[in-house]
Amino acid sequence: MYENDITKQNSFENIKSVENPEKLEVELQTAESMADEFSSEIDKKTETFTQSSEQDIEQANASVGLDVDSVKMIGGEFNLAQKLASINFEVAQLGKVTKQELKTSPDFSKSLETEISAINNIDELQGYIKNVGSITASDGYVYRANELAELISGVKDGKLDIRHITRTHGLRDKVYELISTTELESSIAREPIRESGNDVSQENAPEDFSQILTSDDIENVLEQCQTPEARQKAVDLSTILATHINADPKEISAMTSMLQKIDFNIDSGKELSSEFLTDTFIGIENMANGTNFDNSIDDALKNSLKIFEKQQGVYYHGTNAAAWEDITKSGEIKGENRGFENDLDEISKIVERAGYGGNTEFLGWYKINSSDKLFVSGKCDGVNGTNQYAKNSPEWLNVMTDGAFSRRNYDEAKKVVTDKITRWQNRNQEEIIAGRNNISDTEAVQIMQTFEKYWNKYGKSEPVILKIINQDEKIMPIYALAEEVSLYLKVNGKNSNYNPEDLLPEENEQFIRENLTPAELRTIIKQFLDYKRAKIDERISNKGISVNDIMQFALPR
Amino acid sequence: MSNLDKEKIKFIKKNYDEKLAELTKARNALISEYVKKLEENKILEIQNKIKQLEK
Repeated sequence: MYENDITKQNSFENIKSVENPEKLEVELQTAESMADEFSSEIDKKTETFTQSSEQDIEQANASVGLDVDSVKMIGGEFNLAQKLASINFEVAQLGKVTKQELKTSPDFSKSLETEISAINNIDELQGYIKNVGSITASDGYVYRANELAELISGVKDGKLDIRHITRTHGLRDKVYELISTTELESSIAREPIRESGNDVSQENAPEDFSQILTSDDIENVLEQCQTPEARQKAVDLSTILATHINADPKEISAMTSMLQKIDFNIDSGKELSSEFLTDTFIGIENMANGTNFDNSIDDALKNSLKIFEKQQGVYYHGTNAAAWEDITKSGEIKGENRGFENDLDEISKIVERAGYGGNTEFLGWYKINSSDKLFVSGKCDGVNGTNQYAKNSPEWLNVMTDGAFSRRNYDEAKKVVTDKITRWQNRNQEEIIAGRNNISDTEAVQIMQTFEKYWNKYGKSEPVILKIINQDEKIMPIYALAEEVSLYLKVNGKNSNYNPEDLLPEENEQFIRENLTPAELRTIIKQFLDYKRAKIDERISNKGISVNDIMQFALPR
Repeated sequence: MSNLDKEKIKFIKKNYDEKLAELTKARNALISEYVKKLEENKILEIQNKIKQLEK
């Protein structure tokens, strides 16, 4: 089943593992030349557009048989030159912004990677990064030079884990190579070893498993919360645990017991830490399996493998029940047609004509949200966590109503939209001169009708969290754990010769039993969770994921 | 990877082309409006001249 997976993979580091590098080179060059060509096209178009103004004015004058003086005399109040200059400025800005977007495309990573790979020491690398100014990671996060310099120093001084350095452009490998002693391996990147089948899919789950978060047990836990913050923390932790455990009565019961032990009113403002989660995950495994992680390396290994099995290749996506229904009906996780695009395109045109600083301020990112990219996160909780995205979904409706949608408050939402429309119908003179035109009554009605139409669809739709299992990222739990163990040993200068790939699964298990303590395995799980939870707002292509790899969880209100 | 990137470039290009087409349309509309105004004014001016001559 994994034979063709390599062609589906989309992260930059996987380029290195493609079997036919020559073919890849050609493909990359084609993508790069495509971007270069487009960039020059933008320059030419901008130039042509802006330079033709005078000619066009002359032509327009000539078409009615007038010379410049006559025009001044009779057409002076319509200053075409000034109006064209304003459009020219917009074209130039559009070109500038588009070229910037192209620059942040990973296509340009090839040249950066070649240059980074030629660097011989840390100082040279720091200097190079300073010159480049910033590096855009594959998840879109822009690392500033200063931030990267601090991270690299942290890793060099042993204060930070190597995974704090992005893999983009081969940077992590380079840092590792430069700070490692000669007996260490030059790279930590390995081709994942594929597991044969054994998917955790919707089919394996009991029918009501997705409703676990709205069950009476969880409701009882939530009722104990005295403040919205405490409640939020309880919802966050419940979501993390519900999406972590398997659909097994023992695990569900262990999860509920763990939740009942916690008083969420204490330290309710604190974000959930990975130490706390590590302890909770281990507690659930101990309870469900009758094991004792801390006192037995056999139990610690067994539980660690279970935790790795559950956490590997897992991401979360926040959405709403109505959208989830569309997904299950169409069988497509993400498409270019979710049904609202045409209506919103119309509204977008009205809003742009009204000069409302770009329609994203009114309609959010509906165009991107309806493209083939799926926003996923490695964590459910916190401000940028998937829980929050789920409550705000669809994001454009939440933006349109200034957040009233996330509270499912119809009256408040309607007032916000009505107020905005009223403002756009009553522009003052200054605004009109600045190009912010009044919208017509018909347009106002059209916006209100669109709002009502989609409130009817989404207003009663529960927030839903989707647990997505990316099979491309799943490897046998023992190899996933062993790789983390190998990294831990190297970073802590304990054993640099351990290479899990050279050993059979049972040999790796034996190595771990003989060389690690339960406390060290606990640290390794924590570090793995840290890394996974730091993956926020990654965009992945939907191509590698099928609907069968998704489990849904209805969130409590 | 490279296919995905080409798709991304296509997406950016599509957006650019759409916005440029809108701006071109707005520009052409301005020129048409200007020509129309000139014609109206010219006719008005000619009418005025005729009136003056008639006097």
